Amino acid sequence: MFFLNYNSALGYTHSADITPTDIEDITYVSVSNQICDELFISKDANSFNQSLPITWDSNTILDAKFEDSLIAGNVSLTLAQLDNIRIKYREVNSYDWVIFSDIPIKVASDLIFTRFNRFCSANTTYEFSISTMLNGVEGSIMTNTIESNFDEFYIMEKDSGYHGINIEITPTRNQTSSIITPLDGKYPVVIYNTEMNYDSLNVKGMFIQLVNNEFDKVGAWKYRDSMKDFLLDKKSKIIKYSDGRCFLVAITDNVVEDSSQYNAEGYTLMDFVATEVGNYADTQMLYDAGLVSINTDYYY
Amino acid sequence: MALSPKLIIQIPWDATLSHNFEFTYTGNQVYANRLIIKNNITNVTVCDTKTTSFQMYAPIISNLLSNGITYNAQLSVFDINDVESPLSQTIIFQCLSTPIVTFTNLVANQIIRNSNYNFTFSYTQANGELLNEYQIFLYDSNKNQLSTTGILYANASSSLGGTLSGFSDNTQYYARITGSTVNAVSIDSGYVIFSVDYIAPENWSKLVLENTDDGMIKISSNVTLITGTVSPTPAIYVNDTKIDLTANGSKVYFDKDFNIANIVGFKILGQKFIPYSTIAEFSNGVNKIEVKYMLGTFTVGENQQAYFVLNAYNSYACSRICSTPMAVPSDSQEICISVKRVSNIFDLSVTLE
Repeated sequence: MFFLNYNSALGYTHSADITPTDIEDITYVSVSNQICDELFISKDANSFNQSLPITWDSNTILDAKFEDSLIAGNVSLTLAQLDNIRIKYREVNSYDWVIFSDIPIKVASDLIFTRFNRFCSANTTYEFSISTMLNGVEGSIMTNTIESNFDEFYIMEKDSGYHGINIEITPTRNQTSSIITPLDGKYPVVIYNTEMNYDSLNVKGMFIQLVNNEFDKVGAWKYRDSMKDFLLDKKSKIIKYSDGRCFLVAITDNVVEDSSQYNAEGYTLMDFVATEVGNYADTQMLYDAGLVSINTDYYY
Repeated sequence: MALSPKLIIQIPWDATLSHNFEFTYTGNQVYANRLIIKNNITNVTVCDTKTTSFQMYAPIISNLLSNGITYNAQLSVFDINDVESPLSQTIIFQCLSTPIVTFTNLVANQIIRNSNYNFTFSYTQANGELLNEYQIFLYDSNKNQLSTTGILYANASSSLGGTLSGFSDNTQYYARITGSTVNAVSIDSGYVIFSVDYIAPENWSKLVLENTDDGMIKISSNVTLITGTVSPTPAIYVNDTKIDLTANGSKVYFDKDFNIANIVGFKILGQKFIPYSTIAEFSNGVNKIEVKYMLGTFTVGENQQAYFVLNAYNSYACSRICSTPMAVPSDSQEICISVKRVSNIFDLSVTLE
């Protein structure tokens, strides 16, 4: 029973037990009237069997160590000490980073973000990093690695992409040369006036969406229609295949549909030509292609 | 031999080192050359040497000239019959001691605990020769060049240095500065080896990656930025590891950038608690949980004992639990107060650290 708003031991068997008290959505925490060494708050009851200091983990809410600062997050920074988060990635064992995205930080909640990288090759282990920046200078860096894998074929832009199966890619490595025929010689002279060295790809296959791990045959024609607009939007794209091949391309010819097998559950192939226009692992080329979001004030 | 040789203009060099004056000559084969060097101010001859050689250079020995002095030079050549050509046109040159370039924040085998580093260096030249341009290079452990700062120009208003980034963890690199002075004297710091070690392996990462199987990598950030506020300001820190909140009304509070949907527990490590006062408070604006430090005498004739009380208020009740009484701690004794809640029941324990 309650007496003067307190649970008292005046009657029932369990009246002396502690009252269950539910207080939700706590948004204010204070410590006072002491010399405080550390304040640690967690969502994990097991962590309270450990001695301080406890390593920050996914259950940690707040950890103030008062080491000459009032910082209580998991980075030794205040909001005034960063204005940008930069996401970079590179193949493991390579040196050059590709800058993938710059995320302006104005409030602390900006630090909780999710981004999708559509440009990683298959069968490749990548190292990703996020680094804090202030006035264009990179500060602390956090890294993690992951193996990129996928089935079949994807053609990607920055925020969208399409999936293909039964794809045939026919690459042609191109160069330009001139054959000069001298008047007094038996053999011609070949002149290479440019450094051109790029692939053009003839891509043919069935483009169909995966919905809940099943091919959406009913909506396939809508998917293809949408993809035609995608292919002809005059923007650079990344083509990547499950064997690890990856190209930065532009679509340079008409998109053709082959419905000769349409009676077999609407089986339709699409055919288009793509021309390699740059290095898919080069930040500047990806930026010029409009595929990465970089704060140009911070990119030189 | 009516033709005269042409001396190639000399970049200043260190007079403590031997040097070769290169020249060109288009007449008969050269069998010997004669180099005449004079002080450019006094016109006193300091060198007039004939060297028998087919080579198109005239060597001078180290320490023949002096650093910081401007000289002029002429050269003639001799053919197989020892016929001397006319003297070349005069060239003017300087001798300057070797510039000294040293990293000021990097020593060999230093460990850099970051993925980037702002390398700074000092430049000195005994004869006052000014630095014009420089680059800082990064090399891998096999001294293959990885990156460079690009050409940077020295000016009086900014410190010498540049930032290189992209270091991999647990990797060895070399850094090196090269450049030139205003009179094109080369500078070189040599290779300085260093190691990078910036992330301790941890099971939980602030950067979460997921291969989504649909051709994408999902990148999620677990970076949490929370900063408290002290009242009154400024904060008083003790040995840079604790904060002194013993003054009346002094507190640190956190009221933004976090949300505790349903509190499970907290730990406070502190000392010198003020008796009968609230040492911690958790609130959602309506209800609150507070922890108080209390003193009491529980047995007649015994000393006072210390204990902590937790009050958890909601709209209809207050849950109150107390810690086991203990001897009153000294001001220097740290105490850890652990509170956890399981099924809405709070548990309070206190340990001496």
